[in-house]
Amino acid sequence: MFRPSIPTISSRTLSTIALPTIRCPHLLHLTSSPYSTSAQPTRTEALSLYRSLLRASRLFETYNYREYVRRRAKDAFKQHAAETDIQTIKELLSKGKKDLKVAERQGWINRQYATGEKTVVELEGRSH
Amino acid sequence: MQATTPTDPRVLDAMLPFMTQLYGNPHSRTHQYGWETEEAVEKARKEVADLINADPKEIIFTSGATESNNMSIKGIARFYNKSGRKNHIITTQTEHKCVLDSCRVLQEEGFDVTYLPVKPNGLIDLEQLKKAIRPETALVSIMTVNNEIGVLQPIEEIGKICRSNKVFFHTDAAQAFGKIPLDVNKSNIDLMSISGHKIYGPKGIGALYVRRRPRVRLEPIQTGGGQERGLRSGTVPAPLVVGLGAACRIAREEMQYDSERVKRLSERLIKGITDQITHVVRNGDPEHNYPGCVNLSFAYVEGESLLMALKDMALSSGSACTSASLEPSYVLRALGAEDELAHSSIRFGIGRFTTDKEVEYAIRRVTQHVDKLREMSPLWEMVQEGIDLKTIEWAQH
Repeated sequence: MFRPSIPTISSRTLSTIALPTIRCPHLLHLTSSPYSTSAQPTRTEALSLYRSLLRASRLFETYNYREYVRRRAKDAFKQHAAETDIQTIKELLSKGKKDLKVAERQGWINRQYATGEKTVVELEGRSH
Repeated sequence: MQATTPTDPRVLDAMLPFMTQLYGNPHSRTHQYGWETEEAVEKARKEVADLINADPKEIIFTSGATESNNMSIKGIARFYNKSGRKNHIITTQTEHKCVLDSCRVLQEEGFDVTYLPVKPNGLIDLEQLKKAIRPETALVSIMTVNNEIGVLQPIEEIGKICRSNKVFFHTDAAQAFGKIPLDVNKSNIDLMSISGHKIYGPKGIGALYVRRRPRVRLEPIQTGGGQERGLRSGTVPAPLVVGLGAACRIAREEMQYDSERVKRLSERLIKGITDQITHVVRNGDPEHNYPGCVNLSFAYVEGESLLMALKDMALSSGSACTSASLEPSYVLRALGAEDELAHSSIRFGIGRFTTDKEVEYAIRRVTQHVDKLREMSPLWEMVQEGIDLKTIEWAQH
């Protein structure tokens, strides 16, 4: 029986390596076919990039910036979820990685100037 | 998001190198510091131009839309009236203060200015514009999107009228640029004012589009070393310009996503409020409107009290430029709104960084406070009983 030598990401693995706060149904199709090994690196890359972007969003102390990074990443991945052209995927991932660097730098800077203040919407959310 | 917008982190990211290592003066021709900064400035210039289908050579960097408005209105008037035969300007009653004030200054210099009224929905009457144009008319200045009520003027039609009458058309596009598609050629625009901090760019930078074919000439306000085609001398602030360029690039890439989202949130805000409270007036035409600017009047509610109750949200009645004065907004007056309604108006700004939660919060708090204030109002009680307030003869004390 053939066992694929390249590790595949099964749904079970996804749930253990993904951060508990991720709900990304639009990325689940990436795990649906464990045997197409040629597309595997881009799937892993995409998942990894998405997780990194969500991590970067948490660097921002400013509510509106933090929410924007999360929301924009989620919507961008959703928008291109069905993309099959390898060249396009490579370009999207490359742009995404550049955006990730910006988010990480700016998130760090945002934190350095943190005021400790929360917006009313953040405060309301906590009391519930 | 009308008075200003938060600076997009991506814009700050583009600017920082130019406030640290790359500190060269873009006009220094003789060394690398200058060249690399000049390259960045020209790249930014192209980003601004691309957003409105202009040529980069037609973009002049300024300190903001106020300067651009001053430059274009005073510049055109003074250049083309040298013979004394082009001394008429047309504008509207709902323009930004810097436009109105520039016209006032020109009136003191002997120019004749027509301030076109607007219809109750905030739009100008194209027939009135046609009738107002005379052989002496040098310039028509009409803003694209109004900053108080969000009304979108028929720019293409206005451009056509101006072009056929050989009158220059200037538009203050501070609230429209980067948010809706604009084409200076399709709309026959000759001059356009642009503001950086309205599109998530830094404060202190803007631009003026000045058409080159057919050539539009201006008498410069700020003269000196001849930078920016001699129209605006002074060292071009590279960090700010790079920031504006990045803001334009992002606006171009995100325009569809942002506008769909802002439209959805805007509709949700209006529906959320009007579903729960009555006697709400939307100021400005609901169709020809930029959805990110919603101006609502709440009848039988005292405006200042409502604003104070909502002070945990950054809202305004009127605009930042007029918020210090106690007078009701002149824009709302121009719509024909009664003073009480004008006083009880709230302007909501929705933008790229507005969250769904914030809109829901606004709906809740506004409806809560409007209800509370109305409950305390004897006028409201009378209205509920069906009394027509206009029939009351108020006694003197």
